[in-house]
Amino acid sequence: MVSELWGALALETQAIRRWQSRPDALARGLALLAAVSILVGAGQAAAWTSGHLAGSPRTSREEAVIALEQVLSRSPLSPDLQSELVRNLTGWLDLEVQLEALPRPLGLQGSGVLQGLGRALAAPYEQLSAWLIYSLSVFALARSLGGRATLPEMLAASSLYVLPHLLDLLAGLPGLGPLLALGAGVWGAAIYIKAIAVANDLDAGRALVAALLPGLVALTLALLLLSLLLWLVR
Amino acid sequence: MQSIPALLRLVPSALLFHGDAYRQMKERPRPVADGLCLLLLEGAVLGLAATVAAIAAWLASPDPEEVQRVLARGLAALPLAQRLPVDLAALLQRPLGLWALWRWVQPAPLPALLRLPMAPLILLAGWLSYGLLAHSLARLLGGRGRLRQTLGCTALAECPWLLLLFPLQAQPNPGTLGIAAWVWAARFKALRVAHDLDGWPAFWAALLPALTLAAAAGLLLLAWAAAGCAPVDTVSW
Repeated sequence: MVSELWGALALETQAIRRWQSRPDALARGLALLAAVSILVGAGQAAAWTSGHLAGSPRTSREEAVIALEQVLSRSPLSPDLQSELVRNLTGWLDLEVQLEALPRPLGLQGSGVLQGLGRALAAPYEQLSAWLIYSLSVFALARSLGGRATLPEMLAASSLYVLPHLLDLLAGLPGLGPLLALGAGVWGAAIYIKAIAVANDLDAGRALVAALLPGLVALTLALLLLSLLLWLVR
Repeated sequence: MQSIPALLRLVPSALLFHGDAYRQMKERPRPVADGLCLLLLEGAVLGLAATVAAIAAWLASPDPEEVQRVLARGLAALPLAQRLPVDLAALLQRPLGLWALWRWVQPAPLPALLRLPMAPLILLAGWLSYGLLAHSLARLLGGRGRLRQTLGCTALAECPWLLLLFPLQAQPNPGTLGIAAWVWAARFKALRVAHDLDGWPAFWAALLPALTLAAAAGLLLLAWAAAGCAPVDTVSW
């Protein structure tokens, strides 16, 4: 199995084909997805809990405001609108800090630990949610483009995309972290597209269309919604 | 009714979309009774998990009245809120149905016990309404299954909800959508086997009832949201 995973990381067709043609391939794919997301999710939840207990929300609040200011400064929005968006975000984050400080039956520390545990347990579900909903759309599209994979084969092959996301464990590293996370995202997407092509016996062009079209549709809808919101604010 | 352990042995294969599990369910002498038994068991376990999750969330959450007070003051201070034609602070400080709805989503320990009977009831209502719609559509699309076979197989397809046993979060979260997608994919397989349908007819027979029920649920939520903006004394719960 290790050689198949290693081969998948190197985008080898035969490794992906061997992985998806095992009788228990989907069970293995789900286990892989769960293992990586639990590992990464637990790491992130531990970082969140320790930051929460140390009382660092104000630091992350300031970072969020600076990040928004930087993004807006490169946008075509007027300075008045930029300033209003920043004041809205600041007000919202202040509100979040006030809500965090309210007393709870378990106390702030106890509830912080419980919320951290909830986050760690929710991580694999969030990963599963994104992957499964997206992959079901890709499966329907791939079949309409002539793909031949069954649903379990397609899901088993596409689950390999999660392998490079082990690098997300290092996403918190200052400077290098975001770059590693970006690299993991691109590498994972390349494995995903290759897996769609191999599982469905599709050529690269059709596999690319099947893998990217649902994302482009979702992105377009999100941009339309954002434009509508900005128009309402204006 | 065949033994419960034999029925439970089908669950892992059904989770992984193995056609054999659905075929065995289809060929049982009483698939509806077996499906009902499976759903009641699943609902009981999920109800217990939902109650524990609600109590854990209550332990980790502030008093809803305090939250209402902070939100009313904080939201009204946002520049965006000042563009609204209503006095948001005054509106949010009133006893709105919205707050009653929030207490229902995140209840105190005693009302949380209501989740014990609610979970199996919601599961049964969803299964029956989906099963009946999907059966009619599958027959229209050339399916050959009987109603009892559709209901038996779609009951087995509800088993991915069991994965919701683990999260310690009372509120609906993005992960729930993934499990719903999993249930939908299992229903696709169930209808395919129950009615001997090809891929695309099974796809539409599985998708359209789900969209219809989702639209109905959306309308219900909109009605709740509209009621949530009215003072609670004008809302009948």
